Amino acid sequence: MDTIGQFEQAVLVALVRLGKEAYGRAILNEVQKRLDREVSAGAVYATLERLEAKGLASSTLAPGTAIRGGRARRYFVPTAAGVRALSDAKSATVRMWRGLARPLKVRT
Amino acid sequence: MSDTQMDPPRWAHALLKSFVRPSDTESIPGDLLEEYREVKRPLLGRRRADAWYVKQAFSVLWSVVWPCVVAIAVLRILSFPLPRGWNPSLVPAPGASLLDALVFLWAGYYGSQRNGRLSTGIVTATVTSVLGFTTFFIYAAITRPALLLAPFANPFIFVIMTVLLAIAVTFGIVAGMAGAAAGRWFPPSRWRTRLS
Repeated sequence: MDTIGQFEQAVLVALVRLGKEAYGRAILNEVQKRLDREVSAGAVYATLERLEAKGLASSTLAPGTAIRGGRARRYFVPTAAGVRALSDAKSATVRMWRGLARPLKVRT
Repeated sequence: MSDTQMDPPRWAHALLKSFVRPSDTESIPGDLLEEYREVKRPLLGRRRADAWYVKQAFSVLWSVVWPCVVAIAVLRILSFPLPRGWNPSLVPAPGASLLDALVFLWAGYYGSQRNGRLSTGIVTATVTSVLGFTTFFIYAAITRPALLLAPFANPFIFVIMTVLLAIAVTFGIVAGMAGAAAGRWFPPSRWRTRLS
């Protein structure tokens, strides 16, 4: 079973949410929006490369538009193993929180 | 000016292109150019949009060079308490020792075999040598704070520091070139084949 870190989860969730529109720029913006903080392009591209190397995501090139100087876009999709890893991560988080009432009370 | 005429700084674009994998030379610069032209430039103006682009280019560079920078920083910190002479140096200057050479060779090899380009390996080794040199001075300034003020008392020290930096960077470039050539023409698979 592949275990994934929090940032890898955020990128994989972005791929699931964006569906057919998941290319670099859209993924970067989606991750920033969901994490509610600025994220560097280098971190996102390095994570996408790692996810591909682990077999959790795959990519294909498609023609670019004029605004990007005709440069190709690389579209990403989560693989079956990626979706499984994401589900496992979610289940682990739910199990970890089971039995705790939110918001947590701080004992002073 | 139309959207397609708005371009980020050329040097940052060239730097970015030299640090992405050959399979990403279109997609990653294209993504950043699209965001730059469609959102950042109209929203932030030229100067701040350029700064955004440069920051993103450096973040891609950092994602490649960070293991080399960590290696040289650790080498520096571990070597300070050791007695002189344990790590022979070509010239009496920081950043030109035998272990520095090994780190720069590895940085050049790692950079070029990762991206398949000589230039990536050489720039990786150069960045490693500059940041390694900086680590040396940060450590020296922390342990001996008087060193920080010395150049202001005697401005010639700035000249000495510039010469020392030039020596370290030249050493980094030369060793990086050798490592990059090895990484470009002798990838790990070829080493394994020869050894087996």
